[in-house]
Amino acid sequence: MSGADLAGIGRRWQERISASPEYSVVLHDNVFRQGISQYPVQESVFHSQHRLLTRLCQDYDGFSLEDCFSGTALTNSEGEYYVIDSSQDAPSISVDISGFKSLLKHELTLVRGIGPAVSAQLKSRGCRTIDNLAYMRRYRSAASCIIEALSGDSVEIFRLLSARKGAAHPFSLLCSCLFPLSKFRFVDIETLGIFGRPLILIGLGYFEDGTFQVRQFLLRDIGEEVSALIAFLELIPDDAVLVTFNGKSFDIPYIADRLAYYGLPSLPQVPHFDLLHPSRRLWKREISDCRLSTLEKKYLQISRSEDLPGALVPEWYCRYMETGNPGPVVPIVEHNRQDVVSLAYLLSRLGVEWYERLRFT
Amino acid sequence: MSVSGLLDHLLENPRFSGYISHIQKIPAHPPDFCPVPDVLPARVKEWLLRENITLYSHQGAAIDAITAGDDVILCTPTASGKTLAFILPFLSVREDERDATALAIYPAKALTRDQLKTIRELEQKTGIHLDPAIYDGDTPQHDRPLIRAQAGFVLTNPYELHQILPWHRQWSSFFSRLRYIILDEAHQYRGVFGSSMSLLIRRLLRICEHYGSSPRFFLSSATLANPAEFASRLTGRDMAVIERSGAPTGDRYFILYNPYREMSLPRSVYSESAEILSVLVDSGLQSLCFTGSRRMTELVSLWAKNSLMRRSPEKAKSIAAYRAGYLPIERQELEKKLKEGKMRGLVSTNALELGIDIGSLDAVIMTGYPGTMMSVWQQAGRAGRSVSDAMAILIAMQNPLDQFFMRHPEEFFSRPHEHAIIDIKNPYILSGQLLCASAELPVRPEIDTRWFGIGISGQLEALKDNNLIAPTARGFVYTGRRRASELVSLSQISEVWTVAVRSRIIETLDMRQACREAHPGAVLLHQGERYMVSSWDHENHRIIARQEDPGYYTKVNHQTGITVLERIKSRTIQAGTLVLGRVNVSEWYHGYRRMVDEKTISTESLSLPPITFETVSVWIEFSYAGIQSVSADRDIEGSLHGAEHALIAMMPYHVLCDRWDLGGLSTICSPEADGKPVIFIYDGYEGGIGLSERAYDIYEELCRNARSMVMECRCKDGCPACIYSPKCGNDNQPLDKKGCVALLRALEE
Repeated sequence: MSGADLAGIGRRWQERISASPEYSVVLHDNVFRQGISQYPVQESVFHSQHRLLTRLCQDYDGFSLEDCFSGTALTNSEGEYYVIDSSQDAPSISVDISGFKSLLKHELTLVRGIGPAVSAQLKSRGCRTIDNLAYMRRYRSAASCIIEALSGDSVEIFRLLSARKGAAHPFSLLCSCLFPLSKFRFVDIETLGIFGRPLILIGLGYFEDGTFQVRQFLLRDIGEEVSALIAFLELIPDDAVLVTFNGKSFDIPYIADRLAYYGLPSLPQVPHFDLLHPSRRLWKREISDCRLSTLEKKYLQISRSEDLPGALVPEWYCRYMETGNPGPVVPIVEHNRQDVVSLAYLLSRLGVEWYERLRFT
Repeated sequence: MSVSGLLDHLLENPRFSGYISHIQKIPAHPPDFCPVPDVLPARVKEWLLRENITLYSHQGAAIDAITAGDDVILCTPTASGKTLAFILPFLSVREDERDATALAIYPAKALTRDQLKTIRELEQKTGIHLDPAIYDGDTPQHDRPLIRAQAGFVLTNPYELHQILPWHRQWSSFFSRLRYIILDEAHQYRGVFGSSMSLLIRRLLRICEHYGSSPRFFLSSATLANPAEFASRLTGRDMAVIERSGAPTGDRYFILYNPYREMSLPRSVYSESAEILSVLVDSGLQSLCFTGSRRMTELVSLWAKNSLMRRSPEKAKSIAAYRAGYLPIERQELEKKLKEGKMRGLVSTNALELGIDIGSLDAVIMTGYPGTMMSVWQQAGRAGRSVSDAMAILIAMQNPLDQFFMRHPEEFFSRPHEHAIIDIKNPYILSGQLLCASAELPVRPEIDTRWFGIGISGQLEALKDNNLIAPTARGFVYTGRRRASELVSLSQISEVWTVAVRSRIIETLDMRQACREAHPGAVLLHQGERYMVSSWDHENHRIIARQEDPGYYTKVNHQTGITVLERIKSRTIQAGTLVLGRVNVSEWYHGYRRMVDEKTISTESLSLPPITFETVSVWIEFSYAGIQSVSADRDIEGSLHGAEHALIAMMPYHVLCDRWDLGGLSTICSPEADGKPVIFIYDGYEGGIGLSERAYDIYEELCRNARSMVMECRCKDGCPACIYSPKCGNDNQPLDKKGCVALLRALEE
């Protein structure tokens, strides 16, 4: 049909979208109603955030995005992209490697065919380590496999532990101490939605010369997504180690989907430490929810001044896209940077806590 | 008793013979076999030999065509061995390329279960592994990754495919090995659903190309008048058409039975169906009776049982009802008993029309013309084993098309099947599908016109202006705030309303259907059950109803207004000018009537806002001379009104559609045509679905059939069998039958 009112059709889709926002405001901050909606935002938070948005839009009116951030525009094969670098003191990540390895040697259940009951039985009979098992006819071959694997490289040990104990097990987490600090890549992304829409910011943290560097790839417009993805991919070497919070379910598949969307090469298959599960295992009795901001407040002594609920990120970034006013992006960038930094501190804290706990059980 | 014996019995018995309008004998034809094609893998050949299976000519032709690299559409009757025809070629592909995959898309979930069983059996017997699996809304989350990684033959439905495509990364391995796409029951893809489907298939092909594969197509469909055009519109490919079935049939007798033939002693369609079913079962013929609704299914089976109780009580238990809403296990039990011959008579809704395997029966009864010739032959095809005789009986309702066929058996048996129309230009559907595509891979107008047509650049600009997609160096990227595949529906264009009964959703409607059938106060019919609509929740687009039968039914009153936006083309006809164009329709549903037995018991008002939408319309502008064909003593307004109803009533005769898919308006003085009398007929969906366009092309034929339908009806001033319309917003007032016939005669010249 020629000459149809195409603009009207486009507008109609937009109206349909606005008819159902992706979060719901919980009136009177009623905690009992919070569980009902999928992405709740408390009414008081919603209003204070709205005031913040208005203020930011006023404060940054007339500024360009580049004025707000001390970032750099770089270029690669796909065009320009924009990075914001910052650095700060690195948290100390130190677990006694030989102590950890000796812990593993005492974990008889790593051997195929040995469960908790058999393990207890063996221990009561004086068989304390996997090395001891290697002298028992029944477990000899299985045990030597494990001994061989444990003397192998870090990736192999990580794979063994994930396979035998599950990726969420503290042992798998403690494996992180086997990798050199320079290999760690702390990743957190901000996106326009839960699935199938562009990501707008990739935060990447890494250790360099005793400092902790955060490089943020911020999209000034959606066209920079490809070049940012490629630039990000270049910073993930084949022997990298990823650290995320809920990244197994969200951040990493999301990045993979975006790479596939543009037909780009995929992320290398590298060890990935998702801190959500070990945190939940460790602290679930002490906290009401396991969001990163909750953990920060309670265990890392980090408090954020003006933090933005994740559910509002798409709306605020869209405001920037529509108006060109960089105000709404400011808290998004800060929120993301803090997330990446917290990841590093959280890893350090979890390592210590779990090591101590496992050592005494 | 044999089929022909029963036929004699019916003819001798005055209780029935007076109502038989026509008996058509369709002669038997012998099987047309073909040698086993060489390309089949040795293991398959061995299996065919071992089981003594000879292939029919159409199966051989299909295998040859696919092997030669063609795409195929196979249009042969029910039970002609379609499954084997599409599986065998894939077995050859699979033998050559161990990890080749196939995707089979079925319009309904129930079909996939049935097919999976068949494919598993075949796999076992031939020893060629296909690793078939169903992947749809019922597939448990934890099974999904394994299916994506390992299945060689995935069975799914369009709704699931619509959800799968944005996740193509997870399917990348499957898509890169995809060699073969099967669309079973392809004739189901028409109207809004068909247009969406054709674009969904292009989305799928675009992704396949991205992963470097270019699969062959195998379409199976009921017989159509335009298989080649249909297939090419649906998939964008030119296909080899295989229409000649090599499967044998015995003699078949088709009876046209008209309960309204004796106007002095009309009988009810349903009680007649029950009576005839009981006679058939009593004489030992295994029979199936199709009814339109769940409720009638239950009633007809009950009446037939009662009637048998009088005749031969021991047989009453061998009649049962079969309908949607039964548990799968109950349905399977019935299917099994039917196949084993223990169940002798089954009353079913149209659920059984789709290719579920129940074996073949001796006789089929259809209560009322099922709406399309295609369904007639699909339903009739349920009767007829390869060698023995079979019988089909169509029991006519009192509506224009049914009665027309009773008077014109030659039309019924000689006419080609309907045209299946797919309109790939509907701007609303295209826009939605482009949104979905842009969420899968960036859309590049310069390349992707190949999939979505040349009209897309304007569409993309409009989406961009609304911040739904963003231009990048890689193409347009989806940036909307909700998941695109959630936003866009395959079967509806406008906003979807849901009908909830005790917070259980029973049906979804578009706004127009909702105003018509489910306005506050309406008695809504859903699968034969009655529901009272209590209120509308405008915010959530929800219609609240409760199950209740108040003893009356409702009809809505509406007014229609039309403004012409653009005249696309026009031609001069005897009576004036015929025009095809874009129009803006506004329908205002202002009240409804409560009715019992076609009599109004009260009239209520409604306060609903008018619905306006843009669509395609065909209209006739009468010249002064044209209108003179109506003699001076006749009512011009009533004549126009009658002609409008007659033309709409006959549209489903030519095109696969429902009369509800079209709307009409007639007026003696239209400001849109310099005050001339005009009849508008428009597509009832935003943007149009190609019906008016087709009406423009077949206009003369349409008028001719409408005239003979009205003229031959024996009523005096119009009746539901000719110019009364069940959906008329003005309570079928005014109508003038004689004037209408004169007008239609002038139109067809």
